[in-house]
Amino acid sequence: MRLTKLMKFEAFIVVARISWEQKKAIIYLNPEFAKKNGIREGDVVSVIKGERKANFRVKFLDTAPENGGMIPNSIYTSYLLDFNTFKNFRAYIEIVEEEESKPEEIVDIIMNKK
Amino acid sequence: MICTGCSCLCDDIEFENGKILNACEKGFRHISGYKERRAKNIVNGKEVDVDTAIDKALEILKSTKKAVIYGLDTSTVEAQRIAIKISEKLNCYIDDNSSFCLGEFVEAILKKEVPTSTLEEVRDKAYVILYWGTNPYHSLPRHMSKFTYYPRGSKRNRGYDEDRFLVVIDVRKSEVAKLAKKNARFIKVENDIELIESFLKAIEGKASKYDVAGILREMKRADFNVIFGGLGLKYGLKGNYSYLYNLIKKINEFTPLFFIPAGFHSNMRGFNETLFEEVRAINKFSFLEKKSSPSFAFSELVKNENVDVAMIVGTDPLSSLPYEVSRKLLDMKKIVIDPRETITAKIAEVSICSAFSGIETEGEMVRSDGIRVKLSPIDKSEIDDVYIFKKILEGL
Repeated sequence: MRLTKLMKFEAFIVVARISWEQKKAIIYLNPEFAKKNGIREGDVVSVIKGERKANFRVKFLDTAPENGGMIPNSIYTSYLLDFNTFKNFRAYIEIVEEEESKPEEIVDIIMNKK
Repeated sequence: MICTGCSCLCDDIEFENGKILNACEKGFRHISGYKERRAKNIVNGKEVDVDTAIDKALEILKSTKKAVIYGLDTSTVEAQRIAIKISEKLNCYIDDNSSFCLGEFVEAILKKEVPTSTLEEVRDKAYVILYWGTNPYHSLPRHMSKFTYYPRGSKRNRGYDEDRFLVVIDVRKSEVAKLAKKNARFIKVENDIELIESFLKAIEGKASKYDVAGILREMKRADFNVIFGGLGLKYGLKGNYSYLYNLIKKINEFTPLFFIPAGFHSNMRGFNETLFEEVRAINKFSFLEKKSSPSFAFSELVKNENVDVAMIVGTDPLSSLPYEVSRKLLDMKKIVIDPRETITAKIAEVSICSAFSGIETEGEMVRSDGIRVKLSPIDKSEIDDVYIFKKILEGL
């Protein structure tokens, strides 16, 4: 049992473009930040901002912010954000035993919550 | 050919034995993958021929007095001109991604509020090259190698480690920030306004939160310096653009400093310039009220339910706009015109498959620095934005 699975971490998350192909929901965490919080590469984490959350597969990237991570521009970030937090935001992260979010799941949420 | 993968519009893409040469990864994927995931012509969930889809789009557009045309940043200037005519005929709103992207910066340039230059001039003359709130490594992958930092210019011919001074301002140590070693500075910014205040204090010789006096000293050594401003800077300014423009003006009192926006869709600047030529506004324009206003931005119109039909061209607002906007898209009729299948197209009443500008259709685009570029496609599609827009305009 990993104790960190029971914890939530506050993280600073930057929303940025990436040049390589991006189809899945991925969060690029700073390796030091992840290690400190017991998060491993390949884990799925929920990023929780207010009442909304989306699940992301964790990859490590040393250019991610020291106190959090980076998520590429996508339907997932658009769902989590508003214009005041469009480029970076603070959110909670927790490890979950779930799959990463899919675009159609976000569309379903948007359509059902209208 | 010209690569239309980003606003660099690289003009040296070649083909040899089926291989694409000189393109960056982003450009390579853009060009090589143009036949994949193509949009379909669809009306209310059923696949139809293109003319039936255009007829249905016309029927929807004729049935409303509250329409908005949105996107157009990957269309050619020729197509953008016809789209503006459609908006005029419909007396409706027209807007593009620049209203939440770098539109304010382009507007300041077109209104001559900030001095600007071209990428060729930067290559030949620039000493201090400052990337602020942008990471060209991902957004404009050949920006530094083709135009700015790495090339030897006619007046900067001793190589980047001697003849350039790189400054990177970002909230994180990005790939480009990591390059800031010899003859360079990285500033990890927490507050862009405070950073501008630090520059202003340093000009007056006062101490400040951020240590920027060294950057100003380097600028004074040269007769050409440039800031490339990205989305991080725009959102960091929180609407206080005059702070930045005032700083550029102050620095220009003792050394030349130019400003070029960095990082947007391939022809966003083309849309801004084309609309500006017609109505003296770059975006967020109402032909009914004959003016531009923040409340006419696509996101505001949708959020406040001020439109009931949206013709969306070459962009995917369901993916790219915040939840508070995207959920309201469901309440209106949507006509999506795009070469690629998008999430918005999946929930649209009408989807029309168009052509990729620059790959399948010729025309003109405007680079991020305002240079006009003639496209040289490698394929040909009869059904492009110009064809679709002309049919719509004729039908109206």
